[in-house]
Amino acid sequence: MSPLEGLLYGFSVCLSMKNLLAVIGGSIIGTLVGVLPGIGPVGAIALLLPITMGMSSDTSLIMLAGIYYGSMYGGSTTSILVNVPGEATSVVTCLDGYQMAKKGRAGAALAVSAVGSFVAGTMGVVLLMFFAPLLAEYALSFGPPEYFAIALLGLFALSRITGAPFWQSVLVLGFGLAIATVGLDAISFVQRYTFGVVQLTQGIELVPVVMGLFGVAEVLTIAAEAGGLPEIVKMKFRELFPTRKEWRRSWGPMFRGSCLGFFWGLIPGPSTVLSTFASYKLEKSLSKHPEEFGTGAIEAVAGPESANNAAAAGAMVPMLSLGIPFTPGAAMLLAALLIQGVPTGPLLISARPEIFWGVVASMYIGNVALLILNFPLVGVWTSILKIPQAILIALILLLTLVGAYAINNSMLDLVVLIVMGILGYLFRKIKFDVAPIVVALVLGPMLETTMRESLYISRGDPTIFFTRPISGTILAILAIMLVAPPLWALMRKWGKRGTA
Amino acid sequence: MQRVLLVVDITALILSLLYLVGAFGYPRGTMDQPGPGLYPIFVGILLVIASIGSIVTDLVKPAQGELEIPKGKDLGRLLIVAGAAAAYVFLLPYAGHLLSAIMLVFIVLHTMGLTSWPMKIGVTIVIALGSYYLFDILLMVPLPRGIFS
Repeated sequence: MSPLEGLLYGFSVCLSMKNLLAVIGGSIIGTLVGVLPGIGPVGAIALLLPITMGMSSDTSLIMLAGIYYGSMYGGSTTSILVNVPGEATSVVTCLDGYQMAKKGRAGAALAVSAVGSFVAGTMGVVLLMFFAPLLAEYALSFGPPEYFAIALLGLFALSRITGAPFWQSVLVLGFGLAIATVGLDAISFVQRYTFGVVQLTQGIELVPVVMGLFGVAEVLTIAAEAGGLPEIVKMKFRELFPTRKEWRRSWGPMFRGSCLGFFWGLIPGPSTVLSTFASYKLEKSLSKHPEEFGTGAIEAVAGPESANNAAAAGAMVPMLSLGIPFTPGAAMLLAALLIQGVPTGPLLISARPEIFWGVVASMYIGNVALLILNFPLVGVWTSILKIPQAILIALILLLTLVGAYAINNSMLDLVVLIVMGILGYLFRKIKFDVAPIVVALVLGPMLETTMRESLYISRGDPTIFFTRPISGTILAILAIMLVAPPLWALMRKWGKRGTA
Repeated sequence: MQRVLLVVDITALILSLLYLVGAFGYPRGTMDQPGPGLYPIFVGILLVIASIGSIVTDLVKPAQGELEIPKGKDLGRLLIVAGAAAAYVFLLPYAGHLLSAIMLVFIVLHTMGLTSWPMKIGVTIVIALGSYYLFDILLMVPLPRGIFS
């Protein structure tokens, strides 16, 4: 199926009433999640997974993908109007977006942010449409060693890029891998780490872990730091239109941010966040007025807001074409497919075209819906911030608890949820990033299976991972990624000593 | 902060060693027929190395800044909300979803500073009944009924 044929087929899937409702519903929930500081897209997807179990697999993924990329739109609203990022992806937007709002240009910042998100989202989905099938076709020649190498790269690159101390990230990653080993071994049927608890033979579910680490931990953080309602910068509808000069200054950053963001999305790690910092730096270095950055430069809003949307689309490439998620958000989307019993991997696009092309087409429709939702309706979203925090907290906490129970009707899932919630809160306090746990939980079983299958194939020869060209190259990249930064730091240290 | 991180890392090291010891208890198989114990051994070794690496990092390059521990009213709110969530889990099989949800929502609303009593009672009933309607009736998830079953 050519990309054009695929897209037309995708629209035929997406334009059914239930799928259209899923796109619009996902976009609305995504914007809401983005606007509200606290529960992020990962927690929201986890929260809604039980609800999507009654839907068909294409409708489910269309809605959850809408939440994922929709949250990238909504995150900027609170950054610009309240100086509180709704999402980690909108932290950079606070720097200049809020400064613009203080100068009376909040409307222009919001408009540029929404249009930039639309441009990037659309460009991202076009690139996704061409890249993912190509990669999937190439990946058909991959065997267990290649998948093992890619999964290993995804895990360790994440721990290298998060910004937290390396060993701390590896420790958190190892914790996720260890949790994934609990339960019945799928090959030998030996029970591991179940301590005689029958319910644990099924293993520890991903959803209560994620809901605990993100949802409950967030609720506890807000409970401990309860403040008043944020002060919102007021703005009128007619102020929503940027001036001609502001538009002129924004197109370049939007385009550059879109390209940069998409390719960041292909790299393992928190690409949606890091792409915004990369875009900010790029725009500052290219700007004729770098001194304006930090005081309300429109390029600093247009670039990063485009980058995070394009990165969200880019992150879906390895997830849809290889069945390997590099980000927690993509991991949750993959989990949704696994829960539905959909076989993931390179065969997904050819075996279940309605899912892949349906999602691609839904992203075109979703981006238009999100532009409408986030541009003229911005006042509606900011009014949500006026809902008393107590009500939001009570609602989120109850939905988290019932949602975790609903997946398997299991009390054990509720216990896991509470334990993970408390752990997640403590991890936040000591500044441990929990994102690697989610990716490790999803990739852990795959890592084990592919490792064992590779050893079966090679009759116990572990050099199979290094002698096959693709897996060998990936492992070499991983080795460079792990060794180069400390080596570089050591060389700089020696260099300084030499000159002193 | 450094002391707290050291305690965390030492605890992680002890747990990692326990995990590794547990892994050696499962059949390892052979290299061409790997058993269920082989992969957990690798994970255990990774955990032990990472714990030691974290301890060394804490000693050589201590983290800056103070650990922000909630105190007074903040701590009170945190403990009550966490306790209410735990109580919901404990009560669910006995009291059922509706009663447990009413307890949870009311405690959270009260603790988080919603002052108006009619508002507290009204919102509690709406959220509790709403969650029951959404999950039990619309999504057909059989929620525990406890004493109402």
